[in-house]
Amino acid sequence: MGNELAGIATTGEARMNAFLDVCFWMLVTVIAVLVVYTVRHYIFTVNRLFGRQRHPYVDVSVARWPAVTVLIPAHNEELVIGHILDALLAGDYPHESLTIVPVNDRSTDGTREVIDDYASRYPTLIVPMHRTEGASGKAAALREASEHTSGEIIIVFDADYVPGAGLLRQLVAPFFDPQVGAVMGRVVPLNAGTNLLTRMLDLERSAGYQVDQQARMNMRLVPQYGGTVGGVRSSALASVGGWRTDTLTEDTDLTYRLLLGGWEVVYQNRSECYEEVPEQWPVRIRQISRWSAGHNQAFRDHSGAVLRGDMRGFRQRLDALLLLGVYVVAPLTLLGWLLALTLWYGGHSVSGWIAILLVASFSTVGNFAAFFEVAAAARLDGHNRRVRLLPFLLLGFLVSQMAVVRSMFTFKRRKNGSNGVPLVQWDKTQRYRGMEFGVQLTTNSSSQYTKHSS
Amino acid sequence: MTAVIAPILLILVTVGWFVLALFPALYEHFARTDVGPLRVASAATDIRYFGTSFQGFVTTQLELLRARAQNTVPRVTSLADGSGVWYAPAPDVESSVAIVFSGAAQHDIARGLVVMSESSLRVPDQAEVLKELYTGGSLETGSGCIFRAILAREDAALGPACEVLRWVNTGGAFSAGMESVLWGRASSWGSMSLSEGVRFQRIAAPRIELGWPQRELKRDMKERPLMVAPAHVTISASRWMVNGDLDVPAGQSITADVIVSGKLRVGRDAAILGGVRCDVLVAHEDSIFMRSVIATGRMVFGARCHVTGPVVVEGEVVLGDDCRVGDGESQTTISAVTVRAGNGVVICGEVWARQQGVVRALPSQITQTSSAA
Repeated sequence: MGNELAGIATTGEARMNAFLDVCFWMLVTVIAVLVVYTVRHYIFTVNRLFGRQRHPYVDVSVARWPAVTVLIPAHNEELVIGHILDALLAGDYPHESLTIVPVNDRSTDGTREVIDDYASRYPTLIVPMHRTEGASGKAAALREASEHTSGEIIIVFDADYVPGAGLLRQLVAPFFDPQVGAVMGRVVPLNAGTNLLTRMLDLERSAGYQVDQQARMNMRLVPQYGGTVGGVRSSALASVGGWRTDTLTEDTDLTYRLLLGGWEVVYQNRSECYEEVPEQWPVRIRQISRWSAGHNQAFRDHSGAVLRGDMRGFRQRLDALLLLGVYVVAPLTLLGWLLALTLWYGGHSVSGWIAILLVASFSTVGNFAAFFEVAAAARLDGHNRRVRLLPFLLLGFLVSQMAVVRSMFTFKRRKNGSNGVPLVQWDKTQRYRGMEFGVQLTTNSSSQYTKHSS
Repeated sequence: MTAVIAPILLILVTVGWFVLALFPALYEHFARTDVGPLRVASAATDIRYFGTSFQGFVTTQLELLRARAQNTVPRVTSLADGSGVWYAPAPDVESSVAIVFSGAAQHDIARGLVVMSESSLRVPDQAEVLKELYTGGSLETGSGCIFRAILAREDAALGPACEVLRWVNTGGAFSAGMESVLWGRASSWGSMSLSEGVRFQRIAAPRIELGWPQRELKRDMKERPLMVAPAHVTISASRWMVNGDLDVPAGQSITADVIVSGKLRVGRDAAILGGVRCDVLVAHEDSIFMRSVIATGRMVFGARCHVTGPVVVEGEVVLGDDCRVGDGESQTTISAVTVRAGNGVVICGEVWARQQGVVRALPSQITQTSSAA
């Protein structure tokens, strides 16, 4: 009896050890992935601080400009749609080569009336499209509008953006390069100073564009087309099958389809455009949940093709893969925490260097490299004093982490009952700007931004 | 007692240590010293931005200066902000040229007087004007002059070996004598003519003539035989994609966009009607590019080449004698780190030489590039 019990105990201990060994090697794998992302952060930041900066197309200011169609998908945007139309009309892109298409998709507020008012005043420039049927959502709106456009270049703005006078030329200039399929400009939060959340988002955006995107541009890797403040060549879009309507992030999806189709995506750091960032945590959580769900969908759809080597060069392929996986890092970090705790309380003896890596990786919520990147970006922007807010980013990252993990389980695409095709609905980020901004816009001064009192 | 106090102290010290790092963050959060949105790119990217801004400033100052002037004699006075100015009122005789800097010693001008002349101005050899110079008429300078910035409502002609440190903007024609240096921006609403040896950075005009007197050259748009795509060319979405090098035989043409990862050699009198993207471009004499030409490395055009669209190079671009870039109907941009232009080159539009551009005769450049590239 005693021997049997001892045998059972031994078997149980063996199973426990085997389980802990599996946990250990899983943890090593997680750490390896995080180390790769850490190194990536540092490489990007060092490149941005000390490397050769590439802005090849930014000087093109005089040329025979191609025909451009500006698409502005809009769903219940009465507060802001007039501002972007005013800004585009005040721009310096030759009007004979410009068509502005506000795509009103089933708005239930006064968006239609605002658009129609502008169209009646600028009938040759503004050609509205009012959608009342067909698939809903930004991608579907873009798809339908693109099918009716004749411009060589399609530029897309979300309705809350405020483009500067020279922005269209800057975004179109890269398309003189016949290899360029899409262009991405820089997004700058207009309501940066509203509250702690917007200030943190401002820092994050700064790092994402000023360092991340520009470093990828410098190193000829994979700048990402972000779906707004950017554009796509009509022929390139057609050659890869147009906009997909069954994805939450049609921009990431298009980036990869273009790359796999032999086109290049470029980033213009000096093509800056104001946007509104979320001012409330629930809005932010909803936004990042959607992004991560869409991004992970792109990961599933395109990582195989990237791995199979349908793209040019190892470095580009590696960067493309890492970019696809950015929203997998959050659940991996959480998994790492769980594994580390399991190993600790399971009594698994971990060698010294692994312990050091564990401390470095997980006691700092991932790694410090991201903070270094944010600080470098703020410095490059000349915003030295707001770097002091850096410790608060821990809070932002924790919230994002939870939102991303949650989105993996809860953010589901709706099904179209008729044919079973996944259907993406509008998932709009709340607007905060007041109508009075339109008056101030004419002064072209960012400092005059005022938040709507309600 | 110690057993109670010790852990409490430890906790307090730990919390304090943690909070210490938050002090700057909390200060910034509450003090809000840096909350404004990033200022986005403004009109300063326009090459004529400084000229236009200074024109606005001049307009406000001239009224004051005219009110103070008692006669047409130039004199040293002050602007509204108190800074010194050498002001030449409009002369009695309309066509006369202002007496150069009369009423002020040369060293006063050099030491920091703004120069404002209502009429044409002639500047002597070796003069230095280290603040802005404005003339309501034309400007003619001697040799070896140094200017900070020039705004001329009409023509401006710099003598040999002159130097402009910041910008020059003219309403009429602009010319720079041999071996002059134009730092910063030089722009003209009329034509621009830069003699041999002139170095520049950013220049713009409807027509820029470089080096020796221009010859009338017409682009030969005769029909050329179409080049047959070699085996290593992949045709995708109307583009020729080449992983490696590509040679376009002399006298042939390609109608598609051409994307070459390596070197693109374009034979004499060949034509590419689509856009071009490559690492290195070597274009032999009389070749024609009807759209944009983009290179990540270097670009060399032989004599009498024509380019209609923008030229963007991440390294050096060499323009052989008598090349034509852009035309009267379609101005365009050249952007490169360095620009070397031979004699007789005509550019319609704007040139960005991020480090430096120079007008210099370039004998046998194609041969040199072919062997070096």
